[in-house]
Amino acid sequence: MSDLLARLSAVPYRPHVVTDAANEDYDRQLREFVAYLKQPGLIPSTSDPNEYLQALSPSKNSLSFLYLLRFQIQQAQKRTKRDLPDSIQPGGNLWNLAVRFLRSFDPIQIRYSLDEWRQLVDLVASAAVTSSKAVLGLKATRDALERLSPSGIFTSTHLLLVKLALHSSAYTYALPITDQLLCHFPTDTEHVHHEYFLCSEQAPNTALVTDASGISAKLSYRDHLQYFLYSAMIYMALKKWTQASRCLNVVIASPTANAVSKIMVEAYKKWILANLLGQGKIPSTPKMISPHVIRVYQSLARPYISLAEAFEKGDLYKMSNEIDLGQAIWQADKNTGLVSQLFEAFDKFVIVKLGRTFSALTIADVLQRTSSSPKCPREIEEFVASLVMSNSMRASLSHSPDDNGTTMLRLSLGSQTHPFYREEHIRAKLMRAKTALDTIAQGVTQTDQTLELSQENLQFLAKSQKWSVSAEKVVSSGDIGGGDIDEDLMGDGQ
Amino acid sequence: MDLLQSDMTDAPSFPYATQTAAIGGMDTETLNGNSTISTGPFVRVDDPPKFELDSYIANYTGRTKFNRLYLIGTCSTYLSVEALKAAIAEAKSGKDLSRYERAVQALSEVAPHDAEAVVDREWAERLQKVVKSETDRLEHELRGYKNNLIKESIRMGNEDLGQHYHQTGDLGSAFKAYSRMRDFCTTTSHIASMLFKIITVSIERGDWLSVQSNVHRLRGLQSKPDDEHSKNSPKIWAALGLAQLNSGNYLEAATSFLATEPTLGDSYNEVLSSNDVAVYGGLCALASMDRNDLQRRVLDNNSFRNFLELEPHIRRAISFFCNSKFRPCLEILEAYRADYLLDIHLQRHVQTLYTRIRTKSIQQYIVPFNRVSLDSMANIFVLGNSATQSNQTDLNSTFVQELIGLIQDGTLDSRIDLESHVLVSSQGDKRIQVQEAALDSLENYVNEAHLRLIRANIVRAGLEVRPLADDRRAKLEERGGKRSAIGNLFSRVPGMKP
Repeated sequence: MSDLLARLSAVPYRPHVVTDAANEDYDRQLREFVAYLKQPGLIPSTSDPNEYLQALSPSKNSLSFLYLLRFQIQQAQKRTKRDLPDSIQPGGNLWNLAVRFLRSFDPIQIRYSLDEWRQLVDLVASAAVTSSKAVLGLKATRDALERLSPSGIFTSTHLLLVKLALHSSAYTYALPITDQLLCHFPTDTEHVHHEYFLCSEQAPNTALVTDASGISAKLSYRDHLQYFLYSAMIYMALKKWTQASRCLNVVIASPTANAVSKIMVEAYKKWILANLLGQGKIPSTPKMISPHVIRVYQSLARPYISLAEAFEKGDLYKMSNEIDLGQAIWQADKNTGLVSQLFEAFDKFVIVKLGRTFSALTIADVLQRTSSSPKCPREIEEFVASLVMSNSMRASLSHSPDDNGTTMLRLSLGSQTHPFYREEHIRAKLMRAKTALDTIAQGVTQTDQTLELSQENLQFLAKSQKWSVSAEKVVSSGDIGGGDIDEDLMGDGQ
Repeated sequence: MDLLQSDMTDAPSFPYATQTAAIGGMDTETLNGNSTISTGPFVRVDDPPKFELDSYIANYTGRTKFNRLYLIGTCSTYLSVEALKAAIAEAKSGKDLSRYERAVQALSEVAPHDAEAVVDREWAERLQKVVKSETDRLEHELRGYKNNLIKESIRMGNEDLGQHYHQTGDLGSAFKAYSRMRDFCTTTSHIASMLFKIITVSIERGDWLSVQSNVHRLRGLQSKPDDEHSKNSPKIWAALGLAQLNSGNYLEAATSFLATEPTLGDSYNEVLSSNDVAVYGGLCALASMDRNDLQRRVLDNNSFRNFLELEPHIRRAISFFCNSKFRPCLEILEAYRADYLLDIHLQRHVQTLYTRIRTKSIQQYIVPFNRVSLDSMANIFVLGNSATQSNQTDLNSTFVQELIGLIQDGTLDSRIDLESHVLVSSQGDKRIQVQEAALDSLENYVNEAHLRLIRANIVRAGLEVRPLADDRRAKLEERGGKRSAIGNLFSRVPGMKP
């Protein structure tokens, strides 16, 4: 038994010097170790694996820990003849071990056994869901995914995460993951570039982004559409309209081949509402959507479009008419919540727009110009105050000194905050854009590489094409020279 | 042959129901979205106009005389009886039965008991017979000329026929007859006179496209005799201006009218008088040109000065505008509004022209100000008696509403301060605007680049949306069947394997 423990804990340590030779060595050792762990009957069924588990550190001996844990879960399943024995439920012994592992595993080691890792995450998540503690599963999944940091690769675990977040209504927990820019999708490509070892830290993406790595379950187009739609729904629940619209853009602009997914249509409906709520207008759709897809959207989302038209025109009467008419539709599409927020957004945009026409006016005048619902001046004043406080508009309210209850609203131009905060705001924005650009630039380089779009390669291809074309020409001109009788008849007697 | 040609010449007369268009000579193009011509008068003018009907109508000859009288009769409540009686008299002296009937009909509506409000049956029947026999005679003659194959005779035959149709009010046939002359014209002066006839008919039909194309033909023709050229040129410019005015191109119309030589005199009275040129040109220029252009091209224009002398108030209005005295300018225009509403060509454009002039005045007025009080603006731009001016700066007053409309459609770059009742010109911080624009474009770029990258990678991974039947990754099913599908997570627990 101690032999076994010694073997299990004898994980090759990572080389400190990062050289190709060291990496290669490390890579080989890890592969051998995984092969060793995989052999059946490694752990005698008589012994108690718990002891091993206690003795192993999940961060140092991640691979052994993972295999032992899975072995034990399997034992428990066999014993109880249930897929989810009690000990794996939240609070159980195995649950605690699993969560501890998912928080502290070594991402480099785990790359050699992603399939097992993923199944453990799935199991933890479903255990949490069945015991209706989805939020615990969400946290564990989030930690696991953050720790693995599959930099920009979309995996089935991402989808699992957003599903759990929606299931448990704990939206903010999912944000660290949904805020990351995804660029890559696992492919079943045959020619993987083996310039990098799985364990090297420099460019892990190209090696990971294959189906063979087991980083993700088999994906279908529905999965990434769902992921972005669900992410958008998380943002919408948190009223982060810009991000929501960004995610929905990905869905509605998804590449298609002769078919439009229903998920995309749903996304288009939500896209309209999110943009109305966030910007008060419908921006133009991304340019890469092909026209026939747009036509499909427009024909299937007609009530939404006419609602948006009424909203954009500032026609309150028509808008509430449209909302009343479409009750059944909003209900069926589960968009009632979003639609009901339109009234407040309408008032908000009307008042913000007042800033372009007026520099000062009384609250009574504001009331008269918004007139969305019969409100008293007090209510509208509170509403305006909340808009000012939430930085939606830049204005100030002042009560008149004499006690006749009039309040003057002074509006200043622009929606930005105090100049002192402006600089900070711009700085933060720039920093965010810089990170995003870095990620994208990296993604572009990698994609170029995998798609073989380097300058030299293209030149080579062009050249070889020229050769083949000229070769064809030689052949075809030879044909004509052979004297086709039809050609002669049709020609002008040359 | 005859049939074929008539088919061909039918083409240009397409959108115009000839008779309705001829009522008042207005185009059926619904320029202001208003198509009430067939049902009733375009406007109703209650104010007495400044002109005297007799002397006004004496300026015109030919068919436009009746059309103008009829328009005044149907639109003005003040002059209706007088104008309609004159119209009936005018119609009775001509050969057009339908216009006589229309005039009598209109008169019977305003003055049912008048002796003239009854159709003179006997005269009408006689006229009908005369017209019919005349038509037959002319067509017979034309056929004879055609058999003789003498070009000049055929041309004259067609001309006579066209003239006859024109006089009897059959404008479509007149247009066709005149158009048929084209093949038989031998000299340029013949072509010119034919084109003028076509233009006259087209103007009456309200077929402004045809007017413009024929005017351009006419201008291309101008080459040889100088005297004829100088005689025709002002008419050409006036006709072109009229067509442009009616299609709403006020700046072009102003340019054409300004180019009209004063030698026009009363030579084009069957269409418009020199006074009309002054009014049309002046108003179009006022509505479409800025102050420098007005000064340079209108007031300092020696040839157009001759026209302006005929209508001194237009000249005064323009010079007031140039001197930034907007209130007198607008007052003059307002005073003559009734006159212009009773003008056959101007009627439909008065409102647009006036609004443009007014908007331009407001824009000009606030240029020098940083803050301008609404009171002082109301003093200038709210016309009418001063008693109602006390509440002109309220949110609900029409003047403030007008300003709001102008601000909202982007014409005025200012904002209203209802606390101190001033109009504040907007001075946005350019630096901030530029920064914001840059940040926006950066964000757009990031988003679009990301979107394109994702799309490229989706396609590469074979994950594009496709009909279920030909799922490219279906072949993986056999290979990767052992992997659990994520979609099943909530329905069943993924199976464990050793």
